[in-house]
Amino acid sequence: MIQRTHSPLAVVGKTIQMLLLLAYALFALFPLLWMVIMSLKPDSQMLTTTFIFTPTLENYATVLRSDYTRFFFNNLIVSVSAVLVSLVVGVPAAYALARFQFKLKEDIAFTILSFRFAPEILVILPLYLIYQRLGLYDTYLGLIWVYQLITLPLLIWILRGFFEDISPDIEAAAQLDGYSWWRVFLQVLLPLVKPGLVAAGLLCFIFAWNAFTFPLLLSNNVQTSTVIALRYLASDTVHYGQVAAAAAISALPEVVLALLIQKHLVRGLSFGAVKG
Amino acid sequence: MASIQITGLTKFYGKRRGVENVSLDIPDQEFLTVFGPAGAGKTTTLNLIAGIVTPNQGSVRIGNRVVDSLEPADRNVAMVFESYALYPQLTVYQNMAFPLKSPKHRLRTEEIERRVRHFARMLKIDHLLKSADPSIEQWAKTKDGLGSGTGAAAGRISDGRTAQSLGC
Repeated sequence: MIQRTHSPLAVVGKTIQMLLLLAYALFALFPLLWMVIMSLKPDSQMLTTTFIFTPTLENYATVLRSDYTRFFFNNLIVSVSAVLVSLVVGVPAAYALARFQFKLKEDIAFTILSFRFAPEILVILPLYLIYQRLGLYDTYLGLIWVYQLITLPLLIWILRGFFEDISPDIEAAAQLDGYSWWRVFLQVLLPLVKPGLVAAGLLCFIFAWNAFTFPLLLSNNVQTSTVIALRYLASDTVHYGQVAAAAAISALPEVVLALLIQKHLVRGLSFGAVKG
Repeated sequence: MASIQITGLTKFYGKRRGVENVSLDIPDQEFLTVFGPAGAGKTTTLNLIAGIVTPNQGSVRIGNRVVDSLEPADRNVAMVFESYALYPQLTVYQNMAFPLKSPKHRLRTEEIERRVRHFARMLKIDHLLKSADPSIEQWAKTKDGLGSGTGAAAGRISDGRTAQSLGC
């Protein structure tokens, strides 16, 4: 049996590593923690206290007593639908970009990716006019469609890498075994890219859920929970506690999802990155 | 087994030449090994015979039957790939059963079970059937055994790292 000895230098190095990671975790999580703290503070103690205060659930009660849940479910409907549409359209597109050779393939792939380069505010004016003309303004379909600008490029690029990592011999073997192309795709390839599907699906959901500009300007009644938090910025005062409570409730599904499938997320995001 | 004749096979991948005007006559029962440097066209030739890729020109006959318009599954060829082409999401049993479950064979569950266990015993890997991660040697035996055992394959093709073999 090999016995590993830890030198003092290695222990110090490991400790420094852990401390740095802890510091970064605190830095990254602090806004979330601050939001939760704010949501539990009464308005009277909002600006006069930091970490010591009398916690209250009144902010949550106020938010939930209002019609906030309607907008929460709007967000859920639009985000989930957008991800599902992206999966149906994006998975075959990713496969085609990974496997087939055709003219302008890399140009098309880059064009799809370029949709993520431009900030939403750049395209919102023409989109607003187009949506008004087409009757898509303030509709679920309109939001689901425009969310494809957010979700589809991300999903295609993640899954393309996963499909490229699968040896074409596996498909050829399945075809020699007597399976049609569709059955090979469904029974062999999709199970193999499952980690990528989960990771890409979750990331797309997070981006779609957090969308702000599109629902703000392309809808009115079909509003989402990210936008509706703004209404707590009243004309007389800012109800920081209610804004924070609305934001905390809005963040809950993403946090829960990420915690539940974090193993798939880590595996999915790293699997396609290791070559050889 | 069966004879294989390829006549004037040509395959271009875009502007890159895979093979050009390859003709070969392999009699029945002959064991042929093809050597060549990387990029010579060995794998392309095997893929053309198996029907995995379509030639730009030329023809393939297996047992005096022209198979140019036939799908890979209909050519009755068993092929072992250089990368083994195992299904990593399946257990050893499921890997061996997978081709037998295809629409081509339409075998009953009991017959599939019988054949898989028969060949697993023959290859001495029956203790691995439930394993999802066997060693590469057992996997290779699994695929080799399948290639020669499931039905009367007209041709058996093995694509190795240093040589390709056509077993007829």
